[in-house]
Amino acid sequence: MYKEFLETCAYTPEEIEKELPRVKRAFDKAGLTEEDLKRGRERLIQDLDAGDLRGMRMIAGLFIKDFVDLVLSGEEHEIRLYLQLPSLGGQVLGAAQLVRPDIYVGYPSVLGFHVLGSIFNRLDPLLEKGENWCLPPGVAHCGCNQFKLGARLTDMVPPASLNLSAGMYCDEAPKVDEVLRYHFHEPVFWFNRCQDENFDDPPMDERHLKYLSANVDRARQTVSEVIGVEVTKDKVMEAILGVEGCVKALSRITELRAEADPSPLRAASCQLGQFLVVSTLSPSKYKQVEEALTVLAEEVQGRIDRGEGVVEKGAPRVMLSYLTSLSNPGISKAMEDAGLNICCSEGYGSAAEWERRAEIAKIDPCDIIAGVYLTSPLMVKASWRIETIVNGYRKGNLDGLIMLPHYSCRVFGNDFVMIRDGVKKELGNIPTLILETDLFDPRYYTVEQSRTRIESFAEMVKTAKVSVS
Amino acid sequence: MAVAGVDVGAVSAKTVILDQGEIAGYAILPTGYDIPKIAREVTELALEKANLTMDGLDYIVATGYGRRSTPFANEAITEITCHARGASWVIPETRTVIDIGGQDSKAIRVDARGNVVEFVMNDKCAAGTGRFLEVMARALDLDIDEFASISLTGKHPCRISSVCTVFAESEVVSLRAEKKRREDIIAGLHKSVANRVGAMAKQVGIEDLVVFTGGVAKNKAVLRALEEELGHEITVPEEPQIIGALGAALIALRKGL
Amino acid sequence: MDTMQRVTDYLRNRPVELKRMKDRGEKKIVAHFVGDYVPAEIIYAAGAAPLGLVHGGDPEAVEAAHRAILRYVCPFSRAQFGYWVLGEQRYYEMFDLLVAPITCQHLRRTADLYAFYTDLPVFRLGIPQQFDGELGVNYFIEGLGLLKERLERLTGNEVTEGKLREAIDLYNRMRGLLKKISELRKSPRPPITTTDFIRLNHAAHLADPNFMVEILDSLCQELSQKEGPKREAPRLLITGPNIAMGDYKVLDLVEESGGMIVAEDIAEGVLFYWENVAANGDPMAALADRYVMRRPNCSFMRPGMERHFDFILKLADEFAVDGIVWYELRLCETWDIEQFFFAERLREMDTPIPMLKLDSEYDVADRGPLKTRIETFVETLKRRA
Repeated sequence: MYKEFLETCAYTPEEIEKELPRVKRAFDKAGLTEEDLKRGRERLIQDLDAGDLRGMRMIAGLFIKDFVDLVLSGEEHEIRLYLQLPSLGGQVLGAAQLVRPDIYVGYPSVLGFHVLGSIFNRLDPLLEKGENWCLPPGVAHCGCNQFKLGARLTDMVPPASLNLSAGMYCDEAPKVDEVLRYHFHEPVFWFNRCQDENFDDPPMDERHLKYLSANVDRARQTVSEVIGVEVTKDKVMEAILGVEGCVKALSRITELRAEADPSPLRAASCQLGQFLVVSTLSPSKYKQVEEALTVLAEEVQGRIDRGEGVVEKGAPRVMLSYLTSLSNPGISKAMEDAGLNICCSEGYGSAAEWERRAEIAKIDPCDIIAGVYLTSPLMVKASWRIETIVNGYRKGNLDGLIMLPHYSCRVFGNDFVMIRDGVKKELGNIPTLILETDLFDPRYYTVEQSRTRIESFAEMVKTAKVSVS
Repeated sequence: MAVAGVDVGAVSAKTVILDQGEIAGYAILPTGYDIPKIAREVTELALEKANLTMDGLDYIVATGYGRRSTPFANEAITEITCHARGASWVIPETRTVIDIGGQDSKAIRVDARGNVVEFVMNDKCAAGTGRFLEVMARALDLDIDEFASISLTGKHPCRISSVCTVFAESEVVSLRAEKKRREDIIAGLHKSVANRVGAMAKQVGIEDLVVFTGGVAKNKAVLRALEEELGHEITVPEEPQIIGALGAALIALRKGL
Repeated sequence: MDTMQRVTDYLRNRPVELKRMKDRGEKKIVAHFVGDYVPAEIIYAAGAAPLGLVHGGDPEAVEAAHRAILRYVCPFSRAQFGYWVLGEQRYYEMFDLLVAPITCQHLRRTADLYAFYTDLPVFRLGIPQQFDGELGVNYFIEGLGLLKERLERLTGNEVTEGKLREAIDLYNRMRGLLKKISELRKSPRPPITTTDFIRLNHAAHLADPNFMVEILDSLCQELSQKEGPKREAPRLLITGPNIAMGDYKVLDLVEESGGMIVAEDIAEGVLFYWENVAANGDPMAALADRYVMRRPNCSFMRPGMERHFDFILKLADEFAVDGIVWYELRLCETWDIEQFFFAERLREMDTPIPMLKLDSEYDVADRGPLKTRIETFVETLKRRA
């Protein structure tokens, strides 16, 4: 099954021959069987359109490659630097690899969720391991952290030489990263920022930028100490600029999707591409990512030219807030099955956003990293999210809004009632749906149960569309 | 033209036949295990009462839990849309529909045309559904009708604190051991259902006229407890159990044209 | 008159008093969340009445918040908004400004709800979540500066260095007295129960500090002469995020079961009075030093586990406790994680201290299960003795 699976991930015959031993070793370590490969391949084809789209195969392949690199990094690299979800600072790690090409830099959680989750649906054992240890059920602990610990307890993810932790966002992730230090004795660097922006404050002031930027700079210094070579600001800038090509290619895809009718690409497929960019920290991999996204963009254009789509023409246009599950493409597929065109999301990634950020950010790469972060409404304040959704809704001429709270998320999961109220205040009684699922843990919900709500919402939207016209 | 709406719920299956836009007949049967079979049976029963045959139907819409297992239906529509449509047709001033079924409950806000504006449903938990009342009645050795009528005599409803049906059952046992009056315990249980459903309903906002549908709407004790909980008067249509199927039939009418 | 009775009477009248001062234009009322991250000294120095929002324990208040928020933040933070929704607790409607320390995501949500659903103005004070040294302290000082400006605009009074110094001295005295009374519980026959002591802390958040200093002073003298009843009761330390005013069931159940709580590591306790602000130097820097660096931590600090555990064990040692009650609010993810490792740490001690883990979401149904666990724990400790 390996050969077929890897072919579906766009591995060339030469690559398969060369890489097969490593892939097997990594998959064994991750507990993946031939049966898993078979089902994973089917999932790639059915839920993510890897059968029809070479671009999707290439994206899947790059995920697999990075996953293999991660799992084997314990034996292949002396130093491993990880980004822990949902931290910023990936480009600092990328810069570290520029000055020391022999180290491994990666994003274990994102790789784990997409590969073991979205492709293979084999997250449960690791989630349970974390759950049975210090993150029991009943407290709504985030699946992201259960996975993180489960992966370390089973040693599927090797120990880090340094973890960059999201101290600037939620409380649970950095606390669990403290467990990595307390129990596993791994060094951890926490970013710090106070989320004290008042609703009526102007967007991103100097004070917040400087504080976060200083933290990013500290991270740069800490990374330099760990690898024993200085990671200069120039190198960080190089990493930032290097990823531009990927971002532009991705933006082309999201823009095409936002306008096209019928919808030419599944929301989950687009999101996979988005997270490929997020998870690629090695500058040495940027080119391949850009290539995969460019191929996909061209295929999407091709579908548009031929009038092909994943949903019928004229389907109601719906915005997704904030993301669909990283570990289960089935949720957004159920929406597409119900005849909805998920044409855009609230999440960041469009070219216009990047331009705005480039404007605000300064020449200092730490300022850029901090600035990009601080101009993302999700990271800053709920009132801004409402504004963004309302603007996006009007601009995109949309018919409905689906909100997917990550149920255990204390940061953005709970806001949705307020966001719904805020959005309806501006836009009137637009069709909305709050669908409680989970970004990471597929055990919490079933797509079947979600289907009734999704279908009711689809019926609501179609009726509203008819009455307007 | 003649159309049918088939509502296959987890506990009971209902079919309504509309002929020339009027209700020509309807039937209700327990669902049992074989969904396609019961869907057909209940539809045939309704057709008999309407003096029609399956071939005479122009369009069939299926709804409810088993809507995708009704092979002879032309289309499947969710029960939310159907309850909204059905309630509004029977009572045009309907603006909020509360449906308590055998295994789920929903609150739906509708506009003047019977379209869904907002909805919330509970299908993950037995508390606040017909199942809860069933379990409790059995725990007290009563049938559902006696259960309801006794409840209406309870002057000081006990506070049932358990959120879970299973634990509420054992709480009933301890209340009996504490020699609490039977009617007060039962009134407390009905209050508990109203409390759960009320909390859910408040998430979509309550607007008059509030209409109560589903099998449990025939239960006067739940009705009264719900009115108290929501602070609104609640209207129950004549046959609340068939509102979903009626709504499906009305949608069939539009589609069949 | 009994001093505790004086406090009760004062508190009964306090909302009326505050409202009157507000209506007459005499004082602005500035509320803040507890946990001791907002220097009430600045509020006092601006001539406003600091009001700590300490109420909790009511399941209705928690329920009331659900029309604005999904379930997943702790009941205390939901209740802080729920009280406003219910309109029953007068404190929650009368303030002119809410100073919200941005500590954990739970209270941050509450600040959001106030900002979105009410007309009450909200000022957020950023709290560094690491014992960050320079960067964090400086950020906090800047925040204090912004708070000072906001308070000056609100009250029309200038916050001079002199007024700030006076306020710091006053609060230092209050904290010092609380600490003194607290330490009286080290005796084998504590002259005051922890339930009453926590009530005093609650009062300190609501009352005029001048009144509190007077009360605490006389109480301190009274109690220094007093000895509590002789009891064969295991000595306990209770730790957790909050024991709100109204959330007394765990305290009551421990007493009823024959246990004796002698120390507390909670927001409405040690975190409030344990350390004082430095008496010299620039007042703003002194405040930052105390409120950011020199203080017991809540579990959201990262890293913070070792420091937190060391502190609890130090308290346990000083107060000679036989057992620890860990009372966390359900859905508090950071306390839950710390609990796991603290239990581990206790087990690894040469003489492990027994610990009981409890949690609550302010349910009505809580009492039974809590009672069973507490009774069993106390019995076990008694048998060991």
